[in-house]
Amino acid sequence: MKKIYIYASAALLLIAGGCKKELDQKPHNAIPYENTFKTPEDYTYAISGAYVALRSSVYYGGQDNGGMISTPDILADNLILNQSGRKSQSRFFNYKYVASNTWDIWGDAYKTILRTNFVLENLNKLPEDEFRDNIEAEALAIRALAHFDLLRVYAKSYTSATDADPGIPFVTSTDYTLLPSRTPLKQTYNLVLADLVKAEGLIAADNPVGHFTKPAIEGLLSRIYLYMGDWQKSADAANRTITNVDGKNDLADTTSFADIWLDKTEKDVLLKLKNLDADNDPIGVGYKQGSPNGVIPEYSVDFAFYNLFQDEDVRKAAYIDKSNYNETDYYYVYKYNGREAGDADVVDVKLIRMGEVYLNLAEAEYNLGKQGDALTALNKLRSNRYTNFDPATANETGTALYNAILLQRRLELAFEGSRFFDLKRLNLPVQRSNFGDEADGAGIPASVKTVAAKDKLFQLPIPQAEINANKNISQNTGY
Amino acid sequence: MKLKLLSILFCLLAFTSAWAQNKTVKGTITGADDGLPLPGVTVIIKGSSTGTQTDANGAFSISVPESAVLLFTYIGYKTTEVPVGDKTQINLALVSDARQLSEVVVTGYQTKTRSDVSSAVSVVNGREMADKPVPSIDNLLQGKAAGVQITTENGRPGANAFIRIRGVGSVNAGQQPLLVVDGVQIPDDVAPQVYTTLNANDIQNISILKDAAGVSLYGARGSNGVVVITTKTGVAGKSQITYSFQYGTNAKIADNFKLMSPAEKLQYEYDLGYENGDFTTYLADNNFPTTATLFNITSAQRQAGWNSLIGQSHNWQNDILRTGKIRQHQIAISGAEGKTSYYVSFQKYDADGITVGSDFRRYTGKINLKTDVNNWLSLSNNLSLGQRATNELRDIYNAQNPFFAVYGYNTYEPVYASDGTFNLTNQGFPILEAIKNNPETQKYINGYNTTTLDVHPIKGLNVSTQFGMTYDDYKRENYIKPGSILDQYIGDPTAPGSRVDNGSTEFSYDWVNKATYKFDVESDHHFNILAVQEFQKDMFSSYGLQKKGFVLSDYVDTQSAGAANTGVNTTNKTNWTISSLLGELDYNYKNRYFVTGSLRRDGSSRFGENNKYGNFYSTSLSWLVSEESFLKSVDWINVLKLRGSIGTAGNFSGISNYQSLGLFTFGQYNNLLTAFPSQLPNPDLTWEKKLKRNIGIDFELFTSRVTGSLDYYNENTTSLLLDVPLSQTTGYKSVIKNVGSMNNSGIDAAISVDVVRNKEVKWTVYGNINYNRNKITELNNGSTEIVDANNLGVVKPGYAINTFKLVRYAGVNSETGAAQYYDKDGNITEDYSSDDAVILKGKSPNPKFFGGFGSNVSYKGIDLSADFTYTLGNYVFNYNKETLVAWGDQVYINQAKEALNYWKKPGDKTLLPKADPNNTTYDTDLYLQKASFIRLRNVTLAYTIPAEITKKYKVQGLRVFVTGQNLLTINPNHFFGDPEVGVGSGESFTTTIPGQATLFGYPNTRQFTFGVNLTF
Repeated sequence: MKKIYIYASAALLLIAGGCKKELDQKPHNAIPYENTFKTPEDYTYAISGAYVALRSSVYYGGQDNGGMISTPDILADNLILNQSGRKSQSRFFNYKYVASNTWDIWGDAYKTILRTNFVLENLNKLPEDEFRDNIEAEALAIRALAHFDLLRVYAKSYTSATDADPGIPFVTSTDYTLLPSRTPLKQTYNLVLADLVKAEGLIAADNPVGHFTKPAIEGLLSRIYLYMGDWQKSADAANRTITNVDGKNDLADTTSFADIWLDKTEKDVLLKLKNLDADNDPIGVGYKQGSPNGVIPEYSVDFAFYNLFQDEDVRKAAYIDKSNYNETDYYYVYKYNGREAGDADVVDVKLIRMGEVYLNLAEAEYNLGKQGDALTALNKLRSNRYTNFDPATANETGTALYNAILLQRRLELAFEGSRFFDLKRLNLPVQRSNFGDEADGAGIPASVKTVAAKDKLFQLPIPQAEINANKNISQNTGY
Repeated sequence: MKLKLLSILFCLLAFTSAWAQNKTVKGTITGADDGLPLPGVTVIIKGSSTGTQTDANGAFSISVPESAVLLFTYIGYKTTEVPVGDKTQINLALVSDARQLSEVVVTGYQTKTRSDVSSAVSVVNGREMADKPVPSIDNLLQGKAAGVQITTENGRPGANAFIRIRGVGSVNAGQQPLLVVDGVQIPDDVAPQVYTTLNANDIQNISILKDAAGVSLYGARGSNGVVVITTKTGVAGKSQITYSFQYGTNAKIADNFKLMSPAEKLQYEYDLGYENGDFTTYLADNNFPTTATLFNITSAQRQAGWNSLIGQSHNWQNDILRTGKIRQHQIAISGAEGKTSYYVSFQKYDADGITVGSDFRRYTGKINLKTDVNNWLSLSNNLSLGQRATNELRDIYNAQNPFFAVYGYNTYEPVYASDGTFNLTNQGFPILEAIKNNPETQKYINGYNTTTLDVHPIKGLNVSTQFGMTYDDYKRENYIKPGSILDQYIGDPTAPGSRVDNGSTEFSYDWVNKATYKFDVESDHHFNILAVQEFQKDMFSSYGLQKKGFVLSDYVDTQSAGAANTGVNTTNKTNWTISSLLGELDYNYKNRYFVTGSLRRDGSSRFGENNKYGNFYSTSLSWLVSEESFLKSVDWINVLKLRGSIGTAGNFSGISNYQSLGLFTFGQYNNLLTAFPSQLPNPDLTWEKKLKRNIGIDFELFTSRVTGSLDYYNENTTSLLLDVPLSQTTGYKSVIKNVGSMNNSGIDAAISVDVVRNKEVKWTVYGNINYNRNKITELNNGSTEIVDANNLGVVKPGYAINTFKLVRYAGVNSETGAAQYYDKDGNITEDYSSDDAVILKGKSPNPKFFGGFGSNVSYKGIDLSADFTYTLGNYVFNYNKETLVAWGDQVYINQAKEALNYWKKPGDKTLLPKADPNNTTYDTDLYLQKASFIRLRNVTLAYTIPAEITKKYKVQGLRVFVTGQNLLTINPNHFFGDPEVGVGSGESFTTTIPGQATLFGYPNTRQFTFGVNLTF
């Protein structure tokens, strides 16, 4: 009998010993921090992860809770809330945002920045070569873009800011215990530029679709300088883009323009975020949804704005379509309707296009007093957008030329998340029409028709969660 | 060994076998207090396991040698020994024992009698759960045990319930108690399936461990309490075959509000300036010019149009809802032969929901076996396996949910369009088409098996090893048929139809090695020692498959028939382990003074590197005062027991597997691999801790006619696992840390009274109540409040968990008709801002009181029982009311009559502002309602046919019964709709806080069933 107890005790001890090892369990779908960045491929995966972060849920991949391709148009004068829709983003359309319910690209942009900083912090494990330079350039460019977007949304316009005005925290570390404060606005812009300028020098000549390239960085630089009112540098960057752009990405013409939005061509597109059916992100749903009763628009195209599109403008059919829903006609945004085959409302997200670069150039040259160069750039664009373009009549000067540049910018970049920021950088007011949501301008008009230039509403409130968690962050004035 | 196993099998097949017999003894057993015959009394020959049971008339017959001594045992009665000698007739009146003291309490590691434990335990007898038309056991516990709050999710067939023992014990971690079935600790995520798959009729006993003395035995898993289920085993005596049959109906409980009549709704629309699509169609069909609208035609023309719409109106409830059926067949065989006892059962349970597309089909089987291999070794095995298949509906806030559709569709909208296709309606979605063309099915295979080898070489010592296994297999299929309306909305026109298959398999084993030693020192010192070594490992794997592009067919519906891979096919695997040591010591002196102490050490893979192991303890004391000489003479006190306990337990369910590790996970970009940081390292992560204190009293008075208990408890949860917000500039939103604490304190009371107890009539009433006070005492350093993800309530120190935080409605400006609100400071404003939300102290989903009460009367063979359940003082945000009594913005859907009570002209004093389609009916306290209720949960009327009659047909017992479920509801606060609220909406809410809000969930239903129990 005693022997049994001895055996039993021995067995128990053995079991207990075996159990201890079992207490250490490792995941099957993730790797611990210390096992990352071991091979060059790991850096490629991590950079791709940063692009995916750009496509986050209220950022470039956003739909009805806010998104880079729709919210800046909703905040401006291009759209009108459709009463048949789900009234998504109505807090932006009605300017009802508060700190507890703001547009929260804050989290998405800093998530993107974290992913780039992980790459940059581990860069020294790679041998110094072209591969490493390209990885560094992509990381710097993505980081710059994310910081720039934060500035556009939460900070004042560069041209209206004083040296003391706050920008947004410029983050270069992966340390999660930090509580950074807002970097001064002008300093933030300079740090963004520094990243981009460095990236421009390091980036590889050729990168796959969906990644930054040299002309894409230069295009972004021309945009940022334009936002800062640094006309010469904006024009220089635009000209570098035009010089360096690969033929396959050069300005689309009137025949290929519509294909951009079906992802049938890479023409015109300097930077896009790939978005496949499998990514399950129907970005177009922020604008409209199909139904057996016809398309239900979330927002109608403002009737006054619609009328600015001429029938000969290839952008009209590419951007806008008419829907008959419940016996009523509406003009809705067709731009993100989807590819010819595949899930509805799923297309790549276009971030930087040649069309914009020519408009950056035109505006910069105009402001430098070079109206002839400005008109040349503008007509380069117009000749590729209007089937009836006639150079003989396209010869505006002075204010007419300036207005033509701004009009083309509004038309070209419609529903791409530019309008609100353009008004803001130019310190212009929002002035909406009196039209309603229906195709003939009838229906319920906007409840808020104007936002004064430089109004606090141009700076969205920083999310309350950030204010609560980080005592060093100051809220924007008025919230 | 092989032979032994074979013999077990043989015993299963052979219901009777010969026994060396000398003579037959017959007799009748009655209860001494009421003289009624006692059925089911165990009669065995002392020193053997041979015996029989009394039948429905208390009669028995047994063949015994003359030298035998017969042992008569029956729960609640004193065991009596009678030497056979020359007797051939033994008629016995068993004397009732103090009922409580002999009650069996199962802690999961040991089985004790109530008299030995010093802890707060509620025991629910299996009989109380049998033959109810509700398939999930968690729901059946409602109102049965003091301090155990059961909130059913909703009225879906097979819905689970939320079990909260003594209040909500955590914020983010699990709040459900640990489930232990036949000694097997069920993983928390499998427990709901076990509650729904296990056959309630197989249950012998459920012990609910509430205080430290019970739950500390389970260490890091015990803090929310423990539900210990024991299933039936065969009892000595003749084998019994029981067949049960039940049939009934299932229907929606009627609403307590009225929707607008078609005429009222059309007038309302007109007044609000809205022309509906059916009217537009009417104008077009009746040759009005295209410029004609509802508003520019003559009133006679308008009325004619309205009459046309009223003419086609109908009640959508009649079109969408149905009366479901409930069917149940069960057969159970149990008994004991020689050294082997067995219990085998099979059940088929079907319940139809109250609409097409909502069904529940279940098969369950069970085998419990035990055999004494020899006098020092016994082997037992319990196996339970079930399969259930359900058809599920969407639980979402739109017309894809039939229970929104029945209210949301306008009555004048026809079911079918003129061409015979389904009318899309103003909602743009025909639910009747979707139920057919977008089916979702779920299948579960679920069960457990436990094998125990028990060595008992000397008196008092048991050494056992128990290997328990839990298995849960889940498969879900969701098919959107090509060309269905939903497919036209969300599908890919170039690859129509889509389908999702996902599921998981979870297997867990639980190996428990334990030793108990029971011994006495001298005659007055009684000891019982328990030592346990235990290891559990859980292995979970899951998959998800998606395809699109299908042919239109009634049969083709597999992934392989699809065309295009959508590319999001996934699998996943996770494991967790827990390793434990446990010791418990019971000591009592003279069966009057009881002391128990326990100590447990747990280590788990889930805990962070720096906190891998935790220790838990408890001590408890009790004093059986009624055994003292000074009370022995007080004859109206049968039992008086004072007890107290203190101890600790943990909650490791809030930590997900691998949560303490810093991790990079993977995704794809343009079909290429990506890697990104997904989780911060957190090496200090550990279980939530709970310090539990309890004092209580058990009593039994007036010859045990009155029994009851009263407990006061105070429980402190610390190291709450909370999401500590981080500055989002770090790229993370929050990190989970052990910060914060909360307190629950309260009183549990239960009483049962035999009002009448005589030969003819027995009438018992019972009741139980819990009063609980929950308070958050601390959040992480400095953080003031956490808003729940549904944006309705907060977790904030000084307030009960999930106290509502809403903007306060200040009525209507009687001059302008504008809605008014109070701002933060109490000033009236017409501008709604979510920043003006304030905490509404005292208003939370937590009830002030809850419990149950009921009555049971038996007269001869007739038995009538009624069970009530109640919840008092809780608040529910009523989104159903907000939607159906809206401020004009819901003019597109049908509205309740109450919505007509809006401001129309200056001077009007109304509750609702001027109705306007452009209004927003904001979330304000106008729609926060007190949801107290008392509900008659179950009424059963049964008749047992006298045995004299049934015996002629070789039937031992025949019982017929009818039951009614949810027959009556008392709704004292006039809650709009059903005040019993569980999950508002499974899909539309970000997080589930039981009882927080309504949102067109599956309604609770009323069942009527008829049943028969036949015993052979």
